[in-house]
Amino acid sequence: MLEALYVLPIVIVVGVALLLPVASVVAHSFTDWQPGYGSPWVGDRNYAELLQSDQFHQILFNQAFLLLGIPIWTILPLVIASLLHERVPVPGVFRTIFFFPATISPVVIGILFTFILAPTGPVNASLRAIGLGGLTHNWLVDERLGKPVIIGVLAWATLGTGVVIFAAALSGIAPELFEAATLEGANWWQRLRYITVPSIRSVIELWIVILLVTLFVGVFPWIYSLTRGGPGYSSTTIDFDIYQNALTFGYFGLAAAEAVVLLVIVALVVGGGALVGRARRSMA
Amino acid sequence: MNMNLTKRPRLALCGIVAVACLTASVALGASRSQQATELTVWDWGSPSPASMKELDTAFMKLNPGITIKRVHQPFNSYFTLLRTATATRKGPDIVENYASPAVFDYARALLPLTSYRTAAQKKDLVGWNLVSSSLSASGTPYAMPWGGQGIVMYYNKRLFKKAGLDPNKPPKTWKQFLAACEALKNAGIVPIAEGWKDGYGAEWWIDTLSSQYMSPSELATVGTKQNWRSPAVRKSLELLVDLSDKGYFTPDAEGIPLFPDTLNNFGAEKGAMAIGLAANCCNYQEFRKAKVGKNLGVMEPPLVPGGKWATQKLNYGPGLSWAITRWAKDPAAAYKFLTFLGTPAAQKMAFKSSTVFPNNVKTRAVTSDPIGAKILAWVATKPTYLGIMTLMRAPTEATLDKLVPQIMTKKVSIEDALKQIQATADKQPKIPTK
Amino acid sequence: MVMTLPFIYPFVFLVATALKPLPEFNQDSVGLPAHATLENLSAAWNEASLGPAIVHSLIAVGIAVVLNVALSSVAAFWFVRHRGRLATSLRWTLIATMAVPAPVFIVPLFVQLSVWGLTDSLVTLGVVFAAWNVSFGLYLMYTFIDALPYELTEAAEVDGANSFQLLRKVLLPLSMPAMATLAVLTFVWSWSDLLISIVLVQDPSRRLVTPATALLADQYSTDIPKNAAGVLIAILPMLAVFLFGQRFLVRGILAGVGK
Repeated sequence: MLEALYVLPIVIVVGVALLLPVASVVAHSFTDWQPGYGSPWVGDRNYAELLQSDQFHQILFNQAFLLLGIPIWTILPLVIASLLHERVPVPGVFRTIFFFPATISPVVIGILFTFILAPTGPVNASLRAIGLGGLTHNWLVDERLGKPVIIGVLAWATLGTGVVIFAAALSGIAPELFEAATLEGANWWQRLRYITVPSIRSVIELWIVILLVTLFVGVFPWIYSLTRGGPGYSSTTIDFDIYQNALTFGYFGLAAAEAVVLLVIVALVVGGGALVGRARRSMA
Repeated sequence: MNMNLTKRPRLALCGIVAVACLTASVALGASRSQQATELTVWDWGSPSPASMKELDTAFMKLNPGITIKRVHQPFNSYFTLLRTATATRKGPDIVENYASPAVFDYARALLPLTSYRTAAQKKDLVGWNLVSSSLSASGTPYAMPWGGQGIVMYYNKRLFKKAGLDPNKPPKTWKQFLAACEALKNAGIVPIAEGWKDGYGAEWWIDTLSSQYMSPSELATVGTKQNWRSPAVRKSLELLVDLSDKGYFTPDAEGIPLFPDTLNNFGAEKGAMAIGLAANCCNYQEFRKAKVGKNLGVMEPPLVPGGKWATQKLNYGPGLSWAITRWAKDPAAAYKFLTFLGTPAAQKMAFKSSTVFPNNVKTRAVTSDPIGAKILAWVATKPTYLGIMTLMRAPTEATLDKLVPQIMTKKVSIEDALKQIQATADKQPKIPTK
Repeated sequence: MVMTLPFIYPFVFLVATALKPLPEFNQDSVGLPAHATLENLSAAWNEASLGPAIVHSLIAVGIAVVLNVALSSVAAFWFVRHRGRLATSLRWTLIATMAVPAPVFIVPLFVQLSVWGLTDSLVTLGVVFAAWNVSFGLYLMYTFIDALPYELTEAAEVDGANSFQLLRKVLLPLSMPAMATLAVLTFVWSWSDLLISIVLVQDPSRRLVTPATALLADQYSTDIPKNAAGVLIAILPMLAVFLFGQRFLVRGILAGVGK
């Protein structure tokens, strides 16, 4: 079937560029991997070392903690998009402003915020200026704050994309629905809950999927430029640790094992989410 | 990538052109000097590209058949790239590295230089032992040591005067040091500009303080037998925490990195003292350009209480190294470049353009800067040593750097931190014995 | 609206810092510049060879965008028409590659590309970027095409159109908004990548813009205003692309995904 030509290119490209390397990684996770040289078989030693290490437990905890950011990263853009939709005459300008951070490379954002959140940086300076000097912190170095700060910076960085996506979705809702609701005395919050959310549910789900995936495989550049996983391991994520183990320390075998574990976790999380989504849809 | 970049940023030009001629059998025919050879050299941008270019140009003038293609890789990615180059056996012919056991992390990629090194080079260039097997001068060298680097302390004479301290008599003993800090603090001046966030500041302190507690035998084997749980190391950290408790460091130092903020702060006179380096980085030449400029003074790190030394020694050793990769097509040509970098003439040039201290005993650096001259005099006359930090491996350094802010804010006990660092150190492959 | 302040401020701060001369910055890092200067911008531009770097990025990212949109759209079309178990498994596998983090595949990929002599090539980089983003592309395009009313394709098929004509004349025009969305997102994500760019293109004469900026803001650099200037320059193309592509973005998401 000539039609197979439609799907062949994508399969080849992904197969060579991604699937083969992944297969290589899985295979090598059972070895003392020395890329380019002989890699002796070590069985499950890498996995044992990984699963028994305290640092890895800390890392898993960190990832779980960051999941708490998902409601924030979803609700915030949703609310703002709603406000823009209903209240603001020229939403385009605002959308641009909000989207600006999303266009900046995470590395750059990291550099920027390292500066802004420095002990003598603008954030603390402003707090002092308005008399809230007691609230100043060593934002990036305090262990208790490492993860919340990351959640905050990610909120800043992803808000724009979320607003744009939700705003577009909102424009697809028939205005009559809103008008009718307003006439019946629904306030803004009720409109949001009963009209907006159900109407764009699939978009919200898409957004959450993007967030979840990013959280597990895409936070690396932020961690790298904001905290380097520190202090200690309090803000290390799995993908950052893989990077560190492989490319900073040269523990390729261990990193490979960790990568396999990550893939399993992501499969479980996304798969689990998909199942939940399907279950809810069939009930609706 | 927190390599011992600062392991005394002896970004001294370690011109080690290691030409790895693994494929020499094929290249032999082609490596006749008649054909134009191109050598790709990697460095991380320190010493400055401008000064390196000067050296490259001079070399090329003397060797018309060879072209130097210099590649400045970002420091933060340098060692990642070195790892990938090692894996693919492709890429640079010559690589910059530190003159320390850190070189062995890449031993697989580096060509042993035994057959290239001349007797004269072995004699004239200081530091072969740090890059050779078993850390012995008679071992197999994996790189050529280049330049010198050491740890010193700088201070601000004007701020000293302001606090009522004699600007020409900086503190020598710990007691005097504490008194000076107290006086500065009372005068509203930050005694020591410091930053713990990236860990490098602590590294330098650890080396200068802990070495004073070590017995000669411990100090002699501190490269091959890294014992981070030694009481010497523990005591040095305790001293630092004590200084921190007394409020002698920049407030909130745990959130401030050494590069560039701490150095900038000292330069902008926001601190009266700072621990820094002797040559080509974080040194007097840089500080002269800052506000502290003509008020700059240099002092030795203080003698620790209960230490083993009567007088202070100088933490000093070779700074950088240049190595030839095993896949370089023309190792002989590459080694020519290394040789050039090791010559007195080249080292004089490097000193002039970016204060890389020479490590060729046949040449002396001369400067009109009194601070520079003082440091050079120390190099020439004082007994020198290298500490546990200078000789550590990259992963050990990464672990140490991570833990420093937590140690200083007491979130992790010194004992615990040292245990973790030791665990990493133990995991490192041994230093090659041949 | 007050809410926009946190978003504008960092930008203002970036611009202010970029325009401040270094000595002034060392004394006052937070306020607005008293003596604004353009020398940081030109210094950053020259030192990091930002001009050529931007061109390199445009090439690699351009290839990535075109490839991603083309591959994803065409493949999505195929998947919409093939719903069997095998096809669905294939689709899920391809989409699942979203979960492969860069540090994981970059090492073996780099080793293999090196063996084939494909490193230091902007084209290869573009292809790898595309491969990396195609999982999301497939997901997006599939969802979109799947949601198109069946009547549209039905009508064309009744008229005797084969699959290629269907694709070309009906679906692609309809999918423009989604493709534009994908294009913009792919552009932004590939432009800001650091790790893959830095490993696959090590030759400095082919360096891209994000690594070049990273070079400026590297460990040893103490000239923060210059770093800020470099960062500012690196951002501008992306901002331009966004401002330009904004309309498509809105229409694209509106038209397809929100059903």
